[in-house]
Amino acid sequence: MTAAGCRDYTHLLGAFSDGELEPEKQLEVESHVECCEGCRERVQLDEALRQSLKHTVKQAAPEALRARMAAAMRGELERGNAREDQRKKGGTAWRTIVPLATAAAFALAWGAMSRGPIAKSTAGDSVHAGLGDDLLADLVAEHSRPLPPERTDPQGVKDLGQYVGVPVRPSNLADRRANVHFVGGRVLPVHQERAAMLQYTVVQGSETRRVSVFIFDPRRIQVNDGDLTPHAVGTAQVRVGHSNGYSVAVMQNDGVGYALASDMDEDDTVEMAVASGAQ
Amino acid sequence: MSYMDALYGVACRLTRNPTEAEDLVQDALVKAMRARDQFQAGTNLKAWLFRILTNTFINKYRRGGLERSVLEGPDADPLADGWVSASTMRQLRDPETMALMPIVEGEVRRALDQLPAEFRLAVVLADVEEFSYEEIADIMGCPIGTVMSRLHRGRKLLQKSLYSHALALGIVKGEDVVGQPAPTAAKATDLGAYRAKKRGAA
Repeated sequence: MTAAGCRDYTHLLGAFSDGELEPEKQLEVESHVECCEGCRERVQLDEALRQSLKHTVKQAAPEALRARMAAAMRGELERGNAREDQRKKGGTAWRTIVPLATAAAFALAWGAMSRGPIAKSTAGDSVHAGLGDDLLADLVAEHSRPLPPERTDPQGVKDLGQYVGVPVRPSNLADRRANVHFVGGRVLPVHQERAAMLQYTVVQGSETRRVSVFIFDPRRIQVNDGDLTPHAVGTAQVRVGHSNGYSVAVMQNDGVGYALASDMDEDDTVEMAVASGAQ
Repeated sequence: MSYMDALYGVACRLTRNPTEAEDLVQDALVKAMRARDQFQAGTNLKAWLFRILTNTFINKYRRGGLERSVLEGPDADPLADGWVSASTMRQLRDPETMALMPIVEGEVRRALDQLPAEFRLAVVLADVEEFSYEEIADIMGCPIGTVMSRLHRGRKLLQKSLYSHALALGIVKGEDVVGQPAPTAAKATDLGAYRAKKRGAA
């Protein structure tokens, strides 16, 4: 490639690496990079710099900061709570949120305290209204009368991903929480598509509760979650509600759909949903 | 990594001081909590938090905004797009880790901290936090074209600075940073020698 060719491309190489060029331009630059050693090295040097920057910049926030933030958030919540109480008499969902605010993960606490949806949910009864959605009702039915798991070993369960079309990662929940135990997983036919169904038990005090996590490709399987109450958690939204006596939660993360049906209460179900989707 | 870790990491590079970074993150998050009604559920929470962090930084430390340093920074002397030879670039990388050579990498933080703030922020948001150009434009409150040029110049300035470091350490041989690689750059690692040879031949 001639020097003049490079001159046309060097200023585009960064956007090329970032995948920010128009598709046609992206291909054009790619074909130049393939046959030009100099530009290929520029791209690789950019990439090396990117890796090194990640090593340099990423660092965990100090514990002291987390503690300060947890305290600050409690203060804010109490202030918000007081305002809320003045505005309308009666119970609010805030008291269930405060314990979450003490959690180290800001995103989780943030999601639970995003005010709009919560304020809506304080109406109470509407949350427990019928969901009117066959699919969700079907999933709840699968949870209430579970088929035996097909796979119980982690690798075998991961392999279910090939039947479902999205990654199936069974270990997330059980790794995070000592009281969560993974029972097993299976493929479940859902409306001419397939979902993975992972079953867990959760020990809460003297009770053992069950949780079913359904993992699916949201482009193939659409869950009508319009009747559920949205909670923003991180960049994802968890929608939560009740169906047939069970709590249900629906969320998407990284192109993977998750639906949960559980014997636990809504807050715990939201937490499980977030843990399911977190990597 | 939680958002707090991400915010703290970027705040450290913005303020270049861990204590001030903690204050900045706390100020930003408290602001975010108070303004949470303005956050639209379903939109990008992470980008929103970073926009608040950036604005808090500008208000607190840089009343004149991020733009001012452009005039005084190295941007006044735009770096040529060209770079040293392919083999010199290769020597800066560690083939195993796909990152820079460890000894060069050790210098990255210092080089980053010397960049003007708006370049530093653009580079960190793109390369570390992997925001799209559109998100960075939103966070920094500037057009996408500006994001592109800040990124381009920021990365080139970093590479130039790291190259000088590698040169000082003797990791790479001396070679002028030129507008374009020499036509035979694939073979001639030492441009000076190449030129001398050419002069001798003429």
